[in-house]
Amino acid sequence: MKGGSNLVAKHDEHTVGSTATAGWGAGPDAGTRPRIEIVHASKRFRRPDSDETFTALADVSLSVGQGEFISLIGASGCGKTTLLRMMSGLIPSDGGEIFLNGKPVNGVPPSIGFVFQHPELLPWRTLEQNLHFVLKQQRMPKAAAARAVAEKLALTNLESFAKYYPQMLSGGMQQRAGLARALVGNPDVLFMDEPLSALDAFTRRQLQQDIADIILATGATTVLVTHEVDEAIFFSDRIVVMGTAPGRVREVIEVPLPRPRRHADLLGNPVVAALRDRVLSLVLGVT
Amino acid sequence: MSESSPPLAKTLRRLNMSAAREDAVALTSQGSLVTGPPPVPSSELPRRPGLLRRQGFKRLLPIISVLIFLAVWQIVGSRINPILLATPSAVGQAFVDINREGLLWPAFSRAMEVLVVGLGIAGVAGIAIGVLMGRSDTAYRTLNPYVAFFQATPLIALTPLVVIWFGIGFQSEVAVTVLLAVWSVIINTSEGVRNTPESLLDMARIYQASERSIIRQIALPHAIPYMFAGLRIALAKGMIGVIIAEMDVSLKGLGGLVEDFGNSFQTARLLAAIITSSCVGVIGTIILELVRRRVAPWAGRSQAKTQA
Repeated sequence: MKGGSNLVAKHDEHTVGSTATAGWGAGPDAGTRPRIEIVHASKRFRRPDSDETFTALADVSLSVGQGEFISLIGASGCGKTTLLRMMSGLIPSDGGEIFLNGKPVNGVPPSIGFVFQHPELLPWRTLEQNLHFVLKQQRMPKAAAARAVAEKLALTNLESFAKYYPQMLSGGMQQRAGLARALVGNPDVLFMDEPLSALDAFTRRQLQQDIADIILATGATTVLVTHEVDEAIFFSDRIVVMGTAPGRVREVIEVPLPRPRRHADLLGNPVVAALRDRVLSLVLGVT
Repeated sequence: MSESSPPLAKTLRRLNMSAAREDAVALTSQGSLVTGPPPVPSSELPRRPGLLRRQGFKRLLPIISVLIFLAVWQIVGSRINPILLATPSAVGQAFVDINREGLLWPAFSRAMEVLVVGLGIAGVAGIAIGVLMGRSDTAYRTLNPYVAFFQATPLIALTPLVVIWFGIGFQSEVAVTVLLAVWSVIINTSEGVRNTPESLLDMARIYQASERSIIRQIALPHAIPYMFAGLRIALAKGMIGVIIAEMDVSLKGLGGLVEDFGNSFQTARLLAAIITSSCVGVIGTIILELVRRRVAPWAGRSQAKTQA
């Protein structure tokens, strides 16, 4: 409901001024080395009860610039989550290499954030303590940690819930807390694995807006896995459409719209409509 | 959270509330059949006058049930040989007598002492071994055969051996209690730790959590409900250990009283001693539940989640 009213307000603003948007977003920085480079990466998995293997990802190459937002989209089984887990170091790649900040990824690299499909907050810790969990691992001094936690809770509009336990909050708030935790260590790169898929449509739109603004404010390079075409268009500088059997990159599509974006601005936008058709037809394989 | 009211009172209140809810359901269906009033939100129902009486009745039902049972027992018991079955009034009298003779309290407190010490040792050792088995696959594969074997063995048969090791007395009884109780703590703790959601462990890996941090902040809290389920089973088994050890080894304490009164055909006193030992178990269970609420307020009531 809140998302709906917000939408109307923003739309009015747009029709009156139309000046809210400026510049062409934070695209890949020319001249500096990309944040993430994937060079001919592949992944094979063993089938459950045999020695046979199957190729989950075949020869993926991709690079993500600093501050860029890219989305991985595709039908289930295209290996988008596998690719995300390889980039974040949770699983090793079988062939090729992945570089983060110029260093090969071998295990989880430092200074990344991850927003999971479900919030994965510790139910026995308050929101505040959940964020402190990250900083404690980095051995950040207490005073600095407290400041960082307060700052990120404020950024995600959760400062008044610092002492709440996660299960006392709504799903949307829990996922915002998940984002706050992902950002509290000031990561260079933020990975998000279908973070909004478990939320209802209104909460999702509202949260998309919030997340887009927050991420832009932090300047983090972001990789999002999603199966929502509109979500990918709303967030991304580029959309990586993946194909199945074997999982691979089919096409990388630029989104020629400035960031930050407003949902209201995208309504009825012909560029968005064309993009949506293009992505959908690629995902569904009807080109 | 209103910390001021004691947890026990809270439980009682919650029980009453759920009873009231059941009542409300029964009443709506009845009421709509007879007079057909519009359906009332169940939250408003408990205020209706007739219901209070029904709710009061339901609350009294356990007491009424026990009173009827005692009455039947009294009538049947007074018609048969008191050696075969003592009446409730005779058992009550026996309580008064053995208390006056100074037998009851020392026996009760001794049993309680053995139970607390034994369960304490079993708890600490069981949780430590359980966490080790839960986190390390090597430890699990190495130790699991023994745990599975001892869990399935009627270890009470080892009592004579324990006496050979520890002699007759307090130590032996504690040892028997530990021997009986520790396995369910180990099994439940390791099961709880092993069941830590993979996604939470992924989260820990993303933020470079140390093994110490993973155990203390994730695996251990996650396993707490399992641990307490294990401890409850351990308590029941430990109680058997206490009584049997006292009966077989020292002839002191509650087990000693049971042995004494049984051998001398004092049925009323025998029953009084047995009821006292039940009280030890019940008090132990209540203490466990209070501790659980203290250390893990986020977890629901501990239930047996894994094998006994």
